[in-house]
Amino acid sequence: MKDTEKSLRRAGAAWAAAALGALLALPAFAQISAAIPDDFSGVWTRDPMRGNLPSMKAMPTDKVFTLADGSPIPLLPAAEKIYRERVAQSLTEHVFATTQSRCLPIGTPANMMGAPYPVQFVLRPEFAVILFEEGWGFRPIYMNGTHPERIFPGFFGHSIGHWEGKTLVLDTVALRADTTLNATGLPHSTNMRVIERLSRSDPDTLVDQIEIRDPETYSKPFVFTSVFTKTDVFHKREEPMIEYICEDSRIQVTPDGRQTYGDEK
Amino acid sequence: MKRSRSTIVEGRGRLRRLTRRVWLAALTVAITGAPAVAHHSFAMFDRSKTVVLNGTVKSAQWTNPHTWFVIIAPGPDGVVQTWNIEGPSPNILIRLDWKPNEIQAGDRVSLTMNPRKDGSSGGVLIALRLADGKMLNGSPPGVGPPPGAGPPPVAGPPPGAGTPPGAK
Repeated sequence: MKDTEKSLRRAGAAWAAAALGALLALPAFAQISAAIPDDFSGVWTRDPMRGNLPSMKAMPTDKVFTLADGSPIPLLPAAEKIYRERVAQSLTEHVFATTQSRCLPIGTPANMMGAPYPVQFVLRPEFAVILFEEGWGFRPIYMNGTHPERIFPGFFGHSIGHWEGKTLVLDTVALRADTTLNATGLPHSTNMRVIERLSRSDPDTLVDQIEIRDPETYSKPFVFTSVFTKTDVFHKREEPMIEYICEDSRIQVTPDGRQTYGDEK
Repeated sequence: MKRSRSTIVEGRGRLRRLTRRVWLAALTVAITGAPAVAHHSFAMFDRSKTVVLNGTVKSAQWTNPHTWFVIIAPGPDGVVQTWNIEGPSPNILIRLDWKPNEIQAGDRVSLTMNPRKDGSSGGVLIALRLADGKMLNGSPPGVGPPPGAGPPPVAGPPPGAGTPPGAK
């Protein structure tokens, strides 16, 4: 009986210590909310109908060379030649073999647009991460960080972030040149820098203004947008992410765009 | 500002409808082959032709980026063949209310598809009707056949239950 009393007293002391600790930690909590001016953490869908880069639908027309508002995409002559070749290839029975068509990641910033799979933002004061259902990939964002001096180009790149008011600004470098900005094949170099400004236009709509700075490919920076909608689709809660590993189990797309079937007999 | 309970409920309903529209738009784009991104070109399929296969499931592959349904069924020429039908990603089908365990090897199904242009025994899925009559759409409303224009109920003996004419 005495032992029980003792352990109860010990438990009481532990709770008191925990409560005191929590009180002391309060300023830290306050700091966290101040460090995330607009916490849009959660699962969002990308709305391919509301972006303004040319889509495959623009294919047979000159619309592949303009944004949705009709403004020309400022391709430099060499880049325009590459782009024209890709569009021409896609108009044949072959495809233009994007990295995605070969089960590789689609790359930043194309991963912020277009596909019918959700994206989850996890925002913390010192670190943020964007989780992609498609390809089961992620983009780490080092808040208030710097780009490393030694880095090789990759699919997701290296992203740093900071807040400007309620806008999360992302700065991404180190992107490999075999990914494209969109499905019609807009090219870029490994020296591309992508500046994204993510902010909510209303509680359920997140707009990503994506600025491309790539003087090797484009004569001047240009901006396009991607729109996300908060999920609450089949339940009164967030849409769960479903595992998506690209297996490419049947149709193989070769780098030159040929497709082969692996039919079961 | 304090919102009344009913306003909140209405707001949620509106949000659900909105997000459902976004999903359907996204799915439409994914399936019609006019997407911002697609795993591969759908130019290989003849979207102007619709074929209904009444047959038996040999296998179903729930793999990304595309599902595969292998069906043993007579084609339009009456010859029984093994058909390889490509469907949307499992992630899309699950959101369209498909359940992988509903489709098992040996099940009799009726499958509607657009055939390949090259004449090989394959195609792209439009809809699947299970033996119990449950209709599963491989595409959201507005894509593929109108409601009710899906495959007819499975009737008659399954292929292989006799020796169909011209069986390979």
